[in-house]
Amino acid sequence: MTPKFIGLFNYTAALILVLFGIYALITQKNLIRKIIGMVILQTGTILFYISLAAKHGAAIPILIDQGHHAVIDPQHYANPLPHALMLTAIVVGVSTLGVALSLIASIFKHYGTLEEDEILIKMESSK
Amino acid sequence: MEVASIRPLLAVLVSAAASLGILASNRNRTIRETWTFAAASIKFIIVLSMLPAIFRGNILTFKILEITPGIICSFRVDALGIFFALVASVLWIITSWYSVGYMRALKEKEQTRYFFSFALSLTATMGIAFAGDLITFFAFYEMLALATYPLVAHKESREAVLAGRKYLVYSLTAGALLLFAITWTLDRTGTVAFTPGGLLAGSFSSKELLIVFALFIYGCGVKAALFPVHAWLPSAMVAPTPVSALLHAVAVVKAGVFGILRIVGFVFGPELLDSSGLGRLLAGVAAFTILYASCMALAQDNLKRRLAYSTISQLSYIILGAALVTPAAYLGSIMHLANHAMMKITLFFCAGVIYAKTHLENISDMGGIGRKLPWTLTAFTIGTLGLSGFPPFSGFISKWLLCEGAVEAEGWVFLAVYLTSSLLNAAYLLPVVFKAFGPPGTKQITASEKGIALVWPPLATATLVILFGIVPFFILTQIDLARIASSSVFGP
Amino acid sequence: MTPENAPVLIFLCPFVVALLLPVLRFDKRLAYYGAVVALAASAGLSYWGLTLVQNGTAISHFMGGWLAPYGIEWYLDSLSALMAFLVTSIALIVVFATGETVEREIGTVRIPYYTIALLHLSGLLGMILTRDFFNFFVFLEVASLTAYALVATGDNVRGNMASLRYLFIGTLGASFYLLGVGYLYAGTGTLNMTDMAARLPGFIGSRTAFLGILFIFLGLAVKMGLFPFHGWLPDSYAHASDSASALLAPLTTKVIIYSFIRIFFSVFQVSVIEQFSLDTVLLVVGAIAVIAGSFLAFVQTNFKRMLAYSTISHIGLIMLGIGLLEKTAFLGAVLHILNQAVMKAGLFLIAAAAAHRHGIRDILDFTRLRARMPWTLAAFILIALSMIGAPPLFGFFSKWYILLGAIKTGQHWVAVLVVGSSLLTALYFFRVLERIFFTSPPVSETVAEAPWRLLACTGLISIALFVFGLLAPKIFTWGLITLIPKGL
Repeated sequence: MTPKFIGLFNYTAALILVLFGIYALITQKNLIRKIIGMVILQTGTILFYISLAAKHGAAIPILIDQGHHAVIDPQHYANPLPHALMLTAIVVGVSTLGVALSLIASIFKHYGTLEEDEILIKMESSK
Repeated sequence: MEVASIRPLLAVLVSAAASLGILASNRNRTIRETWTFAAASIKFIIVLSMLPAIFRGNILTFKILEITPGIICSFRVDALGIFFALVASVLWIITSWYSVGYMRALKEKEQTRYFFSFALSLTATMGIAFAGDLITFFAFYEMLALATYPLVAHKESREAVLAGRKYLVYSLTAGALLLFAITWTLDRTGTVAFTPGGLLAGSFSSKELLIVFALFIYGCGVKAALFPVHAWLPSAMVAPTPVSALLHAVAVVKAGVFGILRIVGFVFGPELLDSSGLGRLLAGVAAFTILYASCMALAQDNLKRRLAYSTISQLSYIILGAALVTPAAYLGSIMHLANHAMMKITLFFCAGVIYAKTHLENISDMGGIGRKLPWTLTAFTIGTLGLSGFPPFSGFISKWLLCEGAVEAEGWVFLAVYLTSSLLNAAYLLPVVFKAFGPPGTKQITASEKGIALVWPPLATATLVILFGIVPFFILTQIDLARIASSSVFGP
Repeated sequence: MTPENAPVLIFLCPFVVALLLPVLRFDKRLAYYGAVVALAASAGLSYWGLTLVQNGTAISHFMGGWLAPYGIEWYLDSLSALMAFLVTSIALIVVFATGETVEREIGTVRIPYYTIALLHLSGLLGMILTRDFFNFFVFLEVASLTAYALVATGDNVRGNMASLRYLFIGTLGASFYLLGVGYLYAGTGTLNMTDMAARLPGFIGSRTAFLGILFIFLGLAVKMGLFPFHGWLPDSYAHASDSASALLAPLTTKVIIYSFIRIFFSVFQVSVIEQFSLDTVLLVVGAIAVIAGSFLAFVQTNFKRMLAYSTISHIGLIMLGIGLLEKTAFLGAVLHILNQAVMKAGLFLIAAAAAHRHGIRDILDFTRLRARMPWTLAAFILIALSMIGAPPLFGFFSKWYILLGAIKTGQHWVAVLVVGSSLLTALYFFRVLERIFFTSPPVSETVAEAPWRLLACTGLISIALFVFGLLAPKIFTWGLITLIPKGL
């Protein structure tokens, strides 16, 4: 039972998500849409890592007591490390999201709009 | 023989310490001025104390720090260095005396900044004189430019600020190019210490040598007011006259020619300059500057600007002498460094007295002023005659030596340039004297020399001009010192 | 307090105090004192750490006892100890000095401010000390998130917009970094830097390695404000509160530059850099940053904005020094990192002083400062001269070593640029100095100096620049032995 990594489909999906996220982050005028783009970007990265961890026909990485003499072959288990890393990354992403949303709330309270170009015009005129 | 001594460091730092004292005594004018005089006097005494050792053939050194492994920055007092230091320090004493009188007479503002910058400028000048290597030289050279900037822009008028900007742009650019040249030299030769006879031989290809030479000469040439980077000097005449007198006749500009003397004698060396033809190239530029500036001087009506162009011209006398790379010419350059300083400072002092008493700046308005300010104009006349090369004034001796050097180098064109320019000197300075002692002009001048302490300094410097022209003790001491310097470069 | 624990202890002081501060609500002033004490302890510990490793040894600490490459390793060697000491000392000075400005600008939310500031510093220290790629990402984001929050302090709404922009660009950069680490992990199977350095040569030819390195470079470039990813910097520094900008400006980008050096020189090593022509990229980008940053600084009227563009310009200069791949230039670049941190701290403190006492933020108004703040201005002159590179101040030496390195490698155009950068810096600083000292004579005004802590720290920094200038050759000689990465 040779372990094989899942085909390139996941990686392509991750790539598309990343590119889409960057596109949204850069080109969208509405601040909420930019944030959505940012989250999609982070999701793409997370998908990439998780894809690294998966193996064809692998077991979940939980050790069941098989007695002292059993040989444990890591090849039969899915790699838990990227999952652990991505839990942290998800937390980081959520924190970033929180900071971003609170900033947006404050901006909205002051300018009354969430369109970047309108905000810039208002900033220029209030100087 | 090299002797370690802390005196160079003391001579440099005494005015730095005084500058802090000046800052601290902002409120009390008398204490502030005392700091200046004390520093100037102590500095002169320390420099003088080093003189006997130099006459015995020693060189005083002081190690400052080791900047990269193997390269040491140090002070190195040799004959050339102490010569310049003496000129600067004795004239600072007289200028401080003059400054006090001038600033009080005109009730100038920001005097603390003025005296503070002056003290720092002299610190830098001493540092340049005593620098034993190119890096120390560079450090104090930049310090000089930065310390003299507040003095140029002192009046804070639009004209002064613009003159200050011009000054900074010229000086800092020159400093940058100088640093480039120094670092390149360090990389190629592995040393930056001033070496009598040169240190560059064989390290650069001839094309590179031309570039390095150009960079070095540009670097020092800005302060030495060589064409075409001389333009800052006439604009800098907007500064108060004591500044123009000491800095732009003595300290800053002489630091520039001193730098060129060092580069010619102690970095490139006579053989290299001769064999590569770079000496003649520099001589050509200097010769052009001499004639160009003399002609420009003829056209100026503002007295200080005329004196500024005269300075530009006279500085190139010194540069030309250095560029001819013969012992006699080099000797003449060193002598003229001192003699021109004394004569030009006299002329500037007089211009300042005229301005302080009458607020006149233009020569055409100065008809008959000699009758009102006789002592001042007498000093002016002495300076004029000396500058034009008349015996028995000191200018005659140094100009003679320079012409002798031109002959020794078989540079007949350059001899002609020297002689022509002397005629032009007379042509642009004597009319001022004639005008002053002639009939009064249209403007009514009411001025008197009563109760004015400003008259003594120009008379003092004029006396120096006479002393170094007539009295054998002074003349011979000066020549001996200069000869020690020149023989270290060319061999005995 | 055993030597093995040194790296962690340095980090723990600000971190633990940061977590404790919200509990100590009864007296707001405790936040200030707590922060100062925490940073002082951390600075002391990092100095101790520096003495432990100064002869070239290194200390490794394995978190939780899990050895590398399975566990997270923290690593203290001469470069990281030097950086840790720099960061903690500057942070100490800045936090100590800005006590009054924080009171005025931040007011009621002082405790959260100090908490976030200390967390930011903990993040920076974590970035400096860690030896694990993902751990680095975590601390990078800790530092960045707290930085976004710090930029949004102060009572103007522009700070919020600037912070949001910083957030977007910064998150983009962090995601790139994470992606890059992912590629390298995929290829080598390890996240520990030492281990990766051993495994990388076998894997380096593949496209995955190239992409990994590229993404990591892009991510770090965004975070450090390297041209052309500098867009977030001017607004952030200009619109943050004065206290926050004094803390952020000197430190954050410099730590990222250090991380760049660590990752690319100790892990990827010089051969990789040359293989991917990264040195040429650094030289070109650095050159553009120097020129563009200086010209943009020259046209600014807001003082802090001018300083921000000046930072961009000097980061370019540091990259020039690194890109030369030569010992002297490299050391010059490292010294310049130290230098910039110290000088920018001083300059932003001066900006804070002018704004705090007199509400002056605009260069055109600086002329009123001449009579009112003479001591601060004296310090400003010294710091400006050091920025320009006037000997014998510290700024001269770092620039000169880069110049020397450029000439040694025959890259004369870089040498011209280094010299040119000094001239350009002189351009925009003398514009300010001229404005202060040589325009419109001041109406006779009373001296109203900065608060004593601010003034003392500014003075300390300017004197330090003079003292360190004279010590610079010794630091250089020490650095030649201990700081040069393998392969240079």
